[in-house]
Order: sequence, then C-alpha cells, then structure tokens
Amino acid sequence: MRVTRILGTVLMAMLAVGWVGAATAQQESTLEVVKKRGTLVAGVKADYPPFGYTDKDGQLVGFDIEVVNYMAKKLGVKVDLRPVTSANRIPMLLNGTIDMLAASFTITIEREKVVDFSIPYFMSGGSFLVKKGSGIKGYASLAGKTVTFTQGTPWEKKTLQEQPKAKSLVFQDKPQAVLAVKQGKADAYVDDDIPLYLFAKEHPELEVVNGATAKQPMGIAVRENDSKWRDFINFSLIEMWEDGTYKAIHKKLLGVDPDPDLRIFPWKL
Amino acid sequence: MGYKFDWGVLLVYRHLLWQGLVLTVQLSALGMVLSLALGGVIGLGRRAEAKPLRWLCGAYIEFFRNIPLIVQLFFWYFAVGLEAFPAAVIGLTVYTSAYIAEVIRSGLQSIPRTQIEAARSFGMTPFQVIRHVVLPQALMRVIPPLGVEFINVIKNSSIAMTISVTELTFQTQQIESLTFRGFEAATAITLLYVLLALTIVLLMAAIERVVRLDLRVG
Repeated sequence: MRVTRILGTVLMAMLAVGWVGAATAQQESTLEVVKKRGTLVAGVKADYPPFGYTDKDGQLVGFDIEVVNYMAKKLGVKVDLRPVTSANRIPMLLNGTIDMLAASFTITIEREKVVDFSIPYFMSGGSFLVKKGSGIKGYASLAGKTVTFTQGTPWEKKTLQEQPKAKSLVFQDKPQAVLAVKQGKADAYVDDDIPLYLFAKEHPELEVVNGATAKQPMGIAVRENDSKWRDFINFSLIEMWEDGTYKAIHKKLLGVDPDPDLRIFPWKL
Repeated sequence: MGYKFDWGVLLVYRHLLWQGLVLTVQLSALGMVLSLALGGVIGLGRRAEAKPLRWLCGAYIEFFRNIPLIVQLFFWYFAVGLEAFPAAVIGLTVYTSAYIAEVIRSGLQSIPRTQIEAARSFGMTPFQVIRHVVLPQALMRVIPPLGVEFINVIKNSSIAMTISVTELTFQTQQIESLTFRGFEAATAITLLYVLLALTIVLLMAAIERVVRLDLRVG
C-alpha cells in the first residue's frame, strides 16, 4: 500500500513537471509530431504473450504490436517499438520518450489521473479452462467438482467463496494444472483468461469458459490533453474493429473469435 | 530491520500447519519403512551369487537414484495416473530405496572376506556365517548412514507439493499467499523440519545403543 502511495506521488510530481513543459509546447499535437518525424514510437510489452512478446527470431510481436502497426500504416509512417515494463511505462510516456503506450494496460481511475486512455480495446478477467462438452458454465456448476489452481493466485480463495462445495487441487505451475484438467484429475482450472486462451489453443480438447470475474478494460494510453492524437487512436481502433482486422488478429493470437458479448466499439452514429 | 514480524498469523493458520505436518509425517514414515524393506532386498541382491540378479539390482540402483525425484513424482502421478498421495509414497520409496540399497551393500562389503573364510573353516554353515559374523557387524555400520537417508526422506517429501500433495511446505506457501507473511511461516516450518529430523536422530541413536548392548560390539 505504501509503495503504491509513493509511486502515486512520484507520478503526480512527474505530471506536474509535464504540465509545465506542456504549457509551453502544447500547441502541436503528437499526431503532427509523428507525421513530421515519419516514425511512430510506441511503448509495448516484451514479456507478456500474446499482447507483446519476443518471438524466436528476437522480434517484438503480439496483439498490441499489431494494433500499433495498423495505426502506423494508416499514418504512413515507420514504427519504432520500445519495450517497457509495468514500472517504467507511465514515466516513459510522460517524459515524451514514447508517443503512445500499448502495453496490456488496464484502465483504472488512478491511472486516468495521470494519463489519458483510448476507448477500451480489450477485456480481460478470470476464466475457467475445461474439457470441451464438460457442461461447466460457472461457479454454480462446480459443486462437488475438483477445481485446480496455481498456488499464489487469488483464484482458490475466490472459487471456494463462490462455491464452497468445490474440491481444490493446487499445483505450483500452470502446465501441471492444465495437464490435470486434460487427464481428468480436475474438472476445471481457474486463472487469468489470457494464458488460458493460449493453453486452449495448444490443446484443442480444452476450451475457455468466461465468467470467473467481471472483465476489466484495457486501453492505449497517451499524454493528457492531446485530443487530436487520442481521436486518431480511437477512430483507428473503431476502424480496426469494423474492417475485420481486429477479429483476424484476435483469431490469430488467441485461437478464438472475440467474445460475442463484447461490444467494445459500437459507436457509429 | 524493516520487516515487522507478526507471529499471530501462525496461530490463526495453525490448522494448516497441523494438516501439513500430519501429511509430511505420514508420507515420511511410509517412505522410510517401505524404502528400508525394498532397499534391503535390493542391497542383498547386489551381493547375490547369481550374476544376472546382481546386474539387475545394480541397474535398479543407478536408474532410480540418478533421476531427479521431481521427475519420478511427475511420472507416477501424471504418466502412470496414480492418486497424488500414493504417487508420492511410491516415488519417495523407489528413489530412497536405491540409496538405502547402497548403504546396505557397503555395510555387507565392509566385513573382510578373511573373517568369512575363518568362520567357514570353523565349520559354520553359510547361514550361520551370515547370522553370527556378517549381520551383527554390518548392522552396526549401516545404522548411522541409514539415519542420514531417513532425514533425507523427510526433506524430500516436500517435493510432493509439486503433484498437489498438501504437505508442510505447501501449507507454508499457502499461509504466505494468504497473509504475505512468508518469514513467519518459513520460520515455523524450519523448526518443524528440524524437530522431525532430530526425532530421527534420537531414534537412530537409541536403536544403535540397543544393538550395541545386545551384540556386545563396538
């Protein structure tokens, strides 16, 4: 808690400094800067598949990178990808090192205080990994079933709260939990949905059932008070959704279509 | 020191520690008894007259003691498909028996051949030689290293948590993930493991004393 508060203070201080700087150089939108420079500099994750990670040739690839590439193509500029970590991504955006932050970044009120977010372009939450045709639809159908978890995640506690009749089977690492479901030692594996999607892609007999927790939105972050730039990003995301690019990327990286319940970009008047 | 200890969590989660301790004791006790029996047989097999039998026992030892225990546990649990607890007992037994077999063999080999030849020349039968000359001396010599192997069984039993056995080390991590009080939990199980190991040490010392008096050796 204390760390968060210190971090918050540091961020606020940075914001204040940024504001002073912005007051003098606010005139030009990042949109113009990027066009003039001919390069879009984007902060992405290098260690978080499938959003941003390094492939076996050492190239940065992933969902966020595809989104950045789409936007650069639209602008007709080159892409310069800068790997960021969860700790340095906000400072790198605020000090101007990067033009946008597409780094599996969850939208929160605390973060909204220091950066501006695009519209949500991905929703992520907890899910169930089960055998296809298991009939498991949520916590209610886990009564008397064996559910597997990895130690150190909040899911065991959450699941036993929602379904006290579930039997728990806890492993140290994700692969053993997946194997337990595959072999029928467990009926479901509860964890963050993104790795589960990747496992389901690798093991066709398994599928992901959503609903272990409400989903949280992810957005692209930009510096505050840069309307033109944020509009460009929002419109690009909407276009991506409408021309099918979004669906294609989703299918390619996660092995499934986007959740049909997820109407992220229906905003066309 | 920046870390503020809160020993109260151990009291709150003592049922987890207790459950873990019970499982660890069960696992270790079964592992010791079974691996002593199996290791004894294999160790004797290493000294058998029949060459194929000697070779087979040697192969068993090299095979099971050179494969990491965690791999063997995964094998029994995931590949063979046993339940978690039996898989852990079997894995621990087979692994430890390979070490114990070597301990038994070294005990038997420590008896000079000349003693056996002398006993034979007194007119003792081969059985009498083993009963009255080889075993009493060998037994004395294998007790200390057997104690070492038994202590290893206790510590190795913690690897069973990788196949979902909720033993002592697992429960400690469980307490840590529930409370973020890792130091307190780690201190508690350190003491518990030391306590278990000391129990074995005392037990082995007692056995040694009894055997020593009984045999009037050493």
